[in-house]
Amino acid sequence: MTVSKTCAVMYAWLPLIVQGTVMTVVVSCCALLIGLCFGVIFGIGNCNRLKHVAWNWFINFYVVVIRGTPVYVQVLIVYYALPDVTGINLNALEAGVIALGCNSIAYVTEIVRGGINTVPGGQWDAAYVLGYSQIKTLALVILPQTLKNILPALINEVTALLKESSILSAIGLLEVMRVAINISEKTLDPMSVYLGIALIYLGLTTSISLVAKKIEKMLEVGHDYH
Amino acid sequence: MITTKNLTLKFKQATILQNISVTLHKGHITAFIGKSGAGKTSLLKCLANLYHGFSGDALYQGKPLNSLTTQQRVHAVGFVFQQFNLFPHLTVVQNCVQPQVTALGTSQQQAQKKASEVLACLGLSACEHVYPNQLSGGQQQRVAIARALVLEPQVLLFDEPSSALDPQATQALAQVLKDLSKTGITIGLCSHDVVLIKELLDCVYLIDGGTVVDQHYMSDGALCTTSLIGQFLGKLEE
Repeated sequence: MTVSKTCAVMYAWLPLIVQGTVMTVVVSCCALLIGLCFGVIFGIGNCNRLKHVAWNWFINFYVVVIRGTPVYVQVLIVYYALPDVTGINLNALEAGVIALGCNSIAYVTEIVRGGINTVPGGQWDAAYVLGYSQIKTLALVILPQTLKNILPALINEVTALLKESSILSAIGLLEVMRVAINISEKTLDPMSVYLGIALIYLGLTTSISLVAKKIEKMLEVGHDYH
Repeated sequence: MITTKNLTLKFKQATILQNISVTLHKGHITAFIGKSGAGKTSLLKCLANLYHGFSGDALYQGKPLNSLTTQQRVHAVGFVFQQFNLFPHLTVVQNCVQPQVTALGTSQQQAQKKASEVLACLGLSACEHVYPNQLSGGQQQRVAIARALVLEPQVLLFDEPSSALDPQATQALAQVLKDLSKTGITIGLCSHDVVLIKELLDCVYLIDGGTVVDQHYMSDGALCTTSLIGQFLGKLEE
């Protein structure tokens, strides 16, 4: 009964739900891009071999603050408080991307830092003896090995980010969760609506996991240290 | 070829090496022996310029090792690690090609040709396209030697080269080292393997507590069993 009702509601509101789903994917992808770009740089800068007091304290402070506060609070600060301080007005999409992106940076930093630290120190020594510069050591020796180590954790971060994007409904961004709330208020049938939305999230996260498994299989060959 | 003068290495409060003066002569095989923790590997790493914070001199053909450019350094000293440290995400041939392209700027084609030649010399032609984790310990070591040799170093350093090998593979390694020495490559190694030491060496240094306590040139005659080196090797044989 509930399943057929859910299907009927989803079908009736399909264009809005598709629009919301697209917005969820877009905002997650943009935030992930920010998270990956800065998180990889911060993670490299904070690994055991390259950390330096000049930036180490800043990265650690950033990670502690972001990981120690709820993402919901971060979203509200970026959307409501930041314009007061900076004078720059952000729309819901911009604020959402920045808040989720900044949140993701902290987690990706820790994932990359941990992943690089698991590569044996002998790999750095071998690259040095063979005449690799530090940048080439990272690009050609350390990061390719790190990627396999951190892939499961990175996939966790991607799926967490996708689910956390539902928090942006609080600042009025028309992502799939906000659409669901709106539909539920109109139809007065929250059970059917939220069940349908849950299935959409499940579909998205499962697709990510399937792609990740394929990539993991591709990287499976080689890599063991013994 | 490589000389150290009063080389002293400290980590925080601990003195790892103290006033070490040794010479690796061209085309000779020199061994550093001693108990675990004596400082043999640290000395080899100083000679490979892997440790920088030492005082005293480490010279290659009269020039300080740390003043060499990257290209000069890789042509001067190669290093085969105890754990081999092959790059696990690259195939055997890629392990030998990438350093040439990256460090020396050799073309991919030339690097490939050189890698295949060296791998063939070490009997590894059949393994070119497999990954290091698919090889035995002895094969991995020969790949590590090949990876060092493609850069044509004048000095090749080995850290405990026979520690992961069975007696048969150790014999094969001894032959490889002899052949390399005949081509004029200077070899320095640290080892606990009495068979390898007695069969190969031109010169032995005994290191204890971070200092050289005895040395012996084989050209000076047979090793005296009452010398410190003789006593140390005698204990190892027991």
